[in-house]
Amino acid sequence: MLSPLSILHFLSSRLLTQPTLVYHLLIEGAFAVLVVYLFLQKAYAPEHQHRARRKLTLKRGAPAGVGDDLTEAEIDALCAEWVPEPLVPSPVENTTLSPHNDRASEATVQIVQTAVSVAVGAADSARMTSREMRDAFVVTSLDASGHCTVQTQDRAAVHCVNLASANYAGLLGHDRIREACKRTLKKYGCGACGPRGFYGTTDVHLWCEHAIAKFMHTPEAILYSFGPATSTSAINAFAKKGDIVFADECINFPLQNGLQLSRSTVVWFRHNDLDDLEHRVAAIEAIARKQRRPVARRFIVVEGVYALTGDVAPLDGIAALRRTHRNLRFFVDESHALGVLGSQGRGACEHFGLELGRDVDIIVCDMGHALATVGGFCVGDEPAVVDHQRLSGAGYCFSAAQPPYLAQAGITALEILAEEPQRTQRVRDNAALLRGCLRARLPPCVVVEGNSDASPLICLRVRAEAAQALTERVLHLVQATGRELGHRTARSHSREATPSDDNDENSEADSSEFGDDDALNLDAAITDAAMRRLHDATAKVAAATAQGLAVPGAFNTDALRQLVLERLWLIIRERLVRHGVWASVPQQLPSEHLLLPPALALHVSAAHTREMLEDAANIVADTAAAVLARPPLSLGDLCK
Amino acid sequence: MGGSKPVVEGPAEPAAAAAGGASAPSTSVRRYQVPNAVNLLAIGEYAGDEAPGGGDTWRHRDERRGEPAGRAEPLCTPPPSPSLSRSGSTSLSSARRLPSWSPARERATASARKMPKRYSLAAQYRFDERKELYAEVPYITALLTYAMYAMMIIIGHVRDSVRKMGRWLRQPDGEPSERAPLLADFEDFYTRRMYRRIEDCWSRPICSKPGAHIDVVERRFRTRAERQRLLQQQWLKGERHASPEQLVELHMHETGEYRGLLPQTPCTAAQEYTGQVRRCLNLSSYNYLGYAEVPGGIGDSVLQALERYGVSVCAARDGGFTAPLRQLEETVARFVGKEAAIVVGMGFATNSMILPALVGKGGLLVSDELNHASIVAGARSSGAKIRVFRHNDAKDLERVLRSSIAEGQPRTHRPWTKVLVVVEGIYSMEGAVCNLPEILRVTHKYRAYLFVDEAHSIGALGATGRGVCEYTGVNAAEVDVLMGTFTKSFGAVGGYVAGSAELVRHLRHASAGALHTTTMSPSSAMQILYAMRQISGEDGTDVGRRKIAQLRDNSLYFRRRLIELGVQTIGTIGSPVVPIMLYIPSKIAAFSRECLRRGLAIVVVGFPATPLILSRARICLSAAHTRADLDFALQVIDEVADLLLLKYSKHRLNGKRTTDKAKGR
Repeated sequence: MLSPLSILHFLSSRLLTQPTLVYHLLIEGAFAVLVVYLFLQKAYAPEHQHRARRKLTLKRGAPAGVGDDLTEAEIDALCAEWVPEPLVPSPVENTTLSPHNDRASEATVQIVQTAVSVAVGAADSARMTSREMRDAFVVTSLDASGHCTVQTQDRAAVHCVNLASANYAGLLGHDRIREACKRTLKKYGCGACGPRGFYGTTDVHLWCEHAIAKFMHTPEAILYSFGPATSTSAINAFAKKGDIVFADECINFPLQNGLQLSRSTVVWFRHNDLDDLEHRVAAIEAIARKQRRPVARRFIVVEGVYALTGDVAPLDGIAALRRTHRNLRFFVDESHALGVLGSQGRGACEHFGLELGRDVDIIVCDMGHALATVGGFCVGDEPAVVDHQRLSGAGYCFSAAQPPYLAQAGITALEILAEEPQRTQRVRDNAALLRGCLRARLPPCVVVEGNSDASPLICLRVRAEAAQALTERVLHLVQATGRELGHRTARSHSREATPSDDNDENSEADSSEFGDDDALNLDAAITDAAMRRLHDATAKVAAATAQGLAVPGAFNTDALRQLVLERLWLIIRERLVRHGVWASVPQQLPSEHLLLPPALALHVSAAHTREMLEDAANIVADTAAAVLARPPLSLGDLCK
Repeated sequence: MGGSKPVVEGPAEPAAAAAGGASAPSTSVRRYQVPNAVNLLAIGEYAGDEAPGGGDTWRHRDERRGEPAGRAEPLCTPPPSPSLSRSGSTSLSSARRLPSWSPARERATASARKMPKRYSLAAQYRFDERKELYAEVPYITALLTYAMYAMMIIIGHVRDSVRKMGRWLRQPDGEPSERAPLLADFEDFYTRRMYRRIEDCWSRPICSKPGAHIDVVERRFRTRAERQRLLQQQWLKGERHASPEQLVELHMHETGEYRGLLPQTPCTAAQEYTGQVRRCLNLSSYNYLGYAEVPGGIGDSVLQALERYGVSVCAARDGGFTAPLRQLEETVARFVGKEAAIVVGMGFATNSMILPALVGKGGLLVSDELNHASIVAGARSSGAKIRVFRHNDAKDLERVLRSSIAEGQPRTHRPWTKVLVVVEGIYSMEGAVCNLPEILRVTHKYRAYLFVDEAHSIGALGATGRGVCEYTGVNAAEVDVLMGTFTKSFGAVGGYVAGSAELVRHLRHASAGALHTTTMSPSSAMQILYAMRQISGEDGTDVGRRKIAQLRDNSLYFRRRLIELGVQTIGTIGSPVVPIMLYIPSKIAAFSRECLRRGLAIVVVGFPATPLILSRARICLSAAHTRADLDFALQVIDEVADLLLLKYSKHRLNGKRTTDKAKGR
């Protein structure tokens, strides 16, 4: 048994025989004391220190954070005071058009929209807002011959040439695809009911990835269930914080979104401007050399054919740049180029003779265009490109797999494309044909965009001068309307209220401008539906009061021009539908990097015949001419 | 063990299956039909009184149905309801009010049926359908889990450094590359050193519908050396990008039935197909209402839409808004009880592309800590500040809201423009149903807006499948934004956002989800319409209603039996998503492989989809599962759980009832 006494006895006997043991004991004792001391110390608590520091800043009079310095009652009061904005923000055009006058802006937007209708002589659309004009059409059938049926608001079905679907290779409604889809639907049902990782991978998906890899000449491909999610996820999987991405300022929204999510440093270069890109790459390299940090990844992000403009990117020049600067990776979005450019239809890279791996690192593509299905894919030369995305591609990993029948549509589409490469030639010829016809026939104030005749996406934009002229014409009308409205309210006030009413004088005094007080009156006028009648009478009203045409300073002229042009193209589109051409007027989000003036987008397909395109070009040209080439409103016009 | 696996037939041949079960009693797979109303009460409220003669009632009932009592000993019978035994009436209409469960009677019935003892003990649980169970990690297990991860990390790093050294030895004077690697070592460390070890548990291909039973394609994984060798061969052949047309014939495991072809994976890939296909019970697909396989095949309307519109419209909403889509939007709005709805072609994109249109710079987005990745992506794209509250905890939400609103925006302390609270109806990895009434109360109090993501709950919860609002008794009109997907209960693809007419108009014209996406394939829209009409009873049948009842019945039954087995489950008891806690990383793979070997396809998840130590297996129940399917699954899980020591709650049954106690809050 070990008892304290025996230990003591043992120690003392050892001490006597070995005196040096004293030092050992002393040192160990000191350590023991240190341990006890440390235990007794206050625990390290950053919160305490934080609070102490905050108190210090308070004393110094610096603006301190609230939070724990507030009493419960104060927090209650603050919470009770807080008034949130409504969940639905007022439409963007309202807030940007006259930012300091937002109560009036909704009315202003309506008047502007109506005024455009009146100014271009489309009084029938004057009652509708632009949003209603967009919602008015429903597609009720699509076919393989490049036609579609569009239902207008009055329930009339119009048989149209379909220039709104990005069905470049003409595979939409292809019999073989449809039959294959039917078989797959019967065997696999509709949905995959789970992510790819969790038993959502059917053999159809594997076949589709195989078909894509084969088509793109690469060992492996990754299949996403949705086009826009592909580019967002793919870029986000590789570009990380600290990486540098050189991006064309016109890249589409999903790519921009991916860049935003990746938190990498984005260096924008001017659209399709190689010199600018080279300059920026060199500048960044110079900075990096000075910093002596480990090299960060650098990417160049471009689209083969830009969705916003229909331009073909100068990939050969960029590839040359990539060869001289070794630490550049080249990321191409081929969404609008696949099935069109290149002799086999592999896209802009093939068109410029670039090879995956040697010149280009990552290619993403939306299968919702030329392949006529829903989905997207990403391929790359390094196996890591595909492998890494299977765990890190958010849109792949966390989303349900593509329905097998859509994957089957992709497989069959790729097969057809491989068997009939002449489809790509046909769509390029068609694009050149439509471009030529439009260029020849359209009034000079409309530009047919696109730097290459082969690009299947044709954007029509109004030249800046013409846009300016139109905007001014609209402004005249708007001001006239404003004045007339002022008079009306004044009159109604004087009729209803006592003649000495203050409001009465105010509204008359301010009627030439959209002042704050006037805004109130405008709102009132709208609520009692006076505005509605006014819409019809705008032209008359404008004519009656066409004097002193001053430009009110409260307008944001850029926003006004956007509004006017959007309306213009919507009116043109409506007329086109009546004549049997179905086109689209793409919208942009205010958060996008570059806001371009609204345009009419025409998508050429291999399914279109020469006659169809010539007819369509004539109709488009005639309509645009009818709408745009009206002689500018003169004072005499207005006073008629 | 694999030999004793019963042959599981589809629900179409119950008679044959029952015969098979009877001839091989060891499998204890029996097919029998239990009246629905009684099933629904299988887990009712704790009654506390003992019903007389309860033990015999069931057998009598069996005999009444013409089955010999002795042979008809089910693995687990739903307890008879007292009123049935008292009055002797079989009227099911009064079943709703009946207390159905009493411990004493359960003990009696259990002993009569020679059930294991823990079964009767489990009956003492208070089964409240709304109750949420939390993970209680046994101390030792937590320690072991951390130790294992630490070990794997250390070994991984050692292997990495050896690899680096090898590279250096081969090229000692090699200049450090000017080119930054596509992936830095630390970026794919987890993938290379941990995930690769057990990657066979995920992405298993199937070659059938994702219905109640699936055909899983077997794979084998190549070693690194093997891949190197294959690559070299290919290089020698001079094929740079070759993907040789090597095809694998697929045959069923037992019968040898031909199931099609697959392209062999390229030699860079780690896996290759063996050509064997194994039929498994599917507990993994989000096929809650069984619309993954429509009885009688895919609807005519779907095929007609394919005929009329082709596969896809290839255009955004502006040029590709089709009639089926309009019809779908109207139907969805009506179904969820909102004024209007917008439909997007992908569920993930619905969140990630529409949330930024709801809240932006100057706003605050308060998110549940376990929200789905799509919500995280949307929140990060929006530019709003993001605050997180503790999972499903209304009190913590209140704390976050109070302090955030009082403090205002960071640094400037300006008031927030608006506050949007984002929660999910069912958290897919937790199986937890949102505590919506409480959260709604808090958001109302602080004038925050509420966004409920019903991806998993729409169709699956509520007496008529209207989702979490109906389930928790909340008026759908009070929730500002209702979002959901069609991938799960409707067996299709895509998602919707429903709200006021004004809100939806805004989303249709000012959200990326409407402006920058291809619209949904019209055939998918028709499939959803078909399912939704059936669920809401608009088609005039009660198919949908029965499916919903069956799902609820299955969920409750399966959850109860799992708890009785002693495995630890988490989440709300009534939810169709049932996670089984595994904790230790090696058990993730073991559980998945053992279950697959026994014919059960179960999803297992670990870090990073879950917190590091809370690895789990996740079971998604379906209305397509029959009781016999579930019994078979339970039997397999029981076996595997014994094998892998997964019955973490077993030893606690006799002592404190810790499993159903909330995590110390």
